[in-house]
Amino acid sequence: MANRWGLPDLGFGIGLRTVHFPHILAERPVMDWFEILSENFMDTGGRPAYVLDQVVERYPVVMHGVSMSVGSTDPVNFEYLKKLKQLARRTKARWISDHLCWTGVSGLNTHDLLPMPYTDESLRHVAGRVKIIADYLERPVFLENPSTYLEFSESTWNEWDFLAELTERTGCGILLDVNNVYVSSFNHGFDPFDYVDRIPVDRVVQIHLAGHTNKGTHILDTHSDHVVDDVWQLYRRVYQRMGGIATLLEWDEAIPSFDTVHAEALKAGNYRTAPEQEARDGRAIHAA
Amino acid sequence: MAALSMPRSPAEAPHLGRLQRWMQACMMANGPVESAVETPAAVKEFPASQAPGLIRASRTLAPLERLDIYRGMYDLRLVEALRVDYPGLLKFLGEKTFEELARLYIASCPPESYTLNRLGDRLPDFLSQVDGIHRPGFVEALARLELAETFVFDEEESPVAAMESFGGLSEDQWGRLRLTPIRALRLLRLNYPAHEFMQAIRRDEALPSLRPRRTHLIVHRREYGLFHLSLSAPAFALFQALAERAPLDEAMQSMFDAGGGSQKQVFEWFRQWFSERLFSSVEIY
Ligand SMILES: [Fe+2]
Repeated sequence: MANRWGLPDLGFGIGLRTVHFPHILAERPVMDWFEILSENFMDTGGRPAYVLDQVVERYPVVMHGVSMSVGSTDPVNFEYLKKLKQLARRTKARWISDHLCWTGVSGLNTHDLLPMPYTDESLRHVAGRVKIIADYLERPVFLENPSTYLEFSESTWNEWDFLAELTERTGCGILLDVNNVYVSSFNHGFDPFDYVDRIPVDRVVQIHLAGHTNKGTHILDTHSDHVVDDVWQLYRRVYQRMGGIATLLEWDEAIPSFDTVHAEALKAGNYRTAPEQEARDGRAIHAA
Repeated sequence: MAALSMPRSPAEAPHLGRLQRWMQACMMANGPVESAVETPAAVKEFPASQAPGLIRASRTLAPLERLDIYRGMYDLRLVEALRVDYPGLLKFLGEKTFEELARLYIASCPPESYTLNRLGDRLPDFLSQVDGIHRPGFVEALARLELAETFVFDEEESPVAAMESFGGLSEDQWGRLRLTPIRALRLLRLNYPAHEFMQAIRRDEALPSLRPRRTHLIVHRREYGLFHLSLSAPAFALFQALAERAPLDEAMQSMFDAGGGSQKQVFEWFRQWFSERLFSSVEIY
């Protein structure tokens, strides 16, 4: 089940993080691919740029940003997009993604991925901007479902239907963050399996996995821990529906060693099981 | 590119724009969430009485409690970014004072750029205007040094010129030399030797005295490491004039005006500066 752009399943990657630079340069670990946070490399010619060039020589790289602000009612920031495009050339980025969100308005930037009201007005607005951005970048835009902590009363769409409709209207694709689906399902009280079951299969080019922090009343998307079992089960469901999709493990707080993060990413392989195989494994266990 | 000729203006999604301005105003307001929804910027979009109705309650949280999650994260993220850029200030002021000042700064200069790298650019100017800071002169010098370090860290790499590239010049050619510094370099004139404080922190050594001392500093990067080079006033005047594109004879005049220097010293300084790889090109005009 390939995506409509024919983009490959890159295997199991991790986010390129500063604390791992020495290990990556010295050990040149065997690794399927890296995702970079675009903004960390757009305005630096220092050590990060040097390390990035080394990484690009050896590994496939995908760019993931946090400042595209596709949902904002401010004008599109072409200065930002220009730098994004230059970085994509430098890194030979396989694709570029950002989030279904807004980050600021009135010329300011909160540096957070803020929730959209899911309304017809928002849909028209975001669709218009996605088309402008994709035209400028001369490549499809891939949007990730964010973790959200509030819902606007005026929303008339579910997030998953909104996202699916957006892909129809604009030709954009989806970076499906399975942990974010889980986090938002906890925070808003929906069934995460409904969400992943309604996402159009041929639009998903990448998966995100991460750990989170359960505060009791809500879950925060902290990327600070191992992936929890509920999220792995959701990942298994995604695999069964969509097949192998480039899978990326995010770890951004209290980051452990490179090997620990990499091992967490590789665990995803254990959940790439077909329903028939599960049934077989199940029988084997009963027989034993 | 027809799409580029039809910019998406706020007028096309008026209600969405209002909601975004409201939420952002609430996030950027200091104090408890109940007063954030009453600030003029928030009330301009929605009266405070309507605020809870804009957000759905969850099983566990009331609407404004959910909004407050975003307010807390805004604060945390930006203060953390400033902590990373200003470790010296953090050490000198202590956690509590640093965070208080960081919050005041963020409220007064909210982030405008898409990159957090440049969040702290206005911090030194801001600190110079805040009353009641302990050792304000030193704090400002330290902030200027740390800001310069962030620029030097991120600058593009430059080619490096060797001193041999102007061996065997006539006196006339010597006077017409123009030296271009590498890009990853900043010149600082400070009233305190703030670099000695930074070095002590980085090496985990006893902190030096904080007495004022006129300090002329080059902050530069070599093989992706940051370095400080302290200069005499004449040497600094010479380097600064060269950095501003003056030919060497004019730059030497600036050096003499600053009260010292000789041709022999210039040669010694050049030897040091070239070995530190501070220049990217040498030309004769
Ligand atoms: Fe993600």
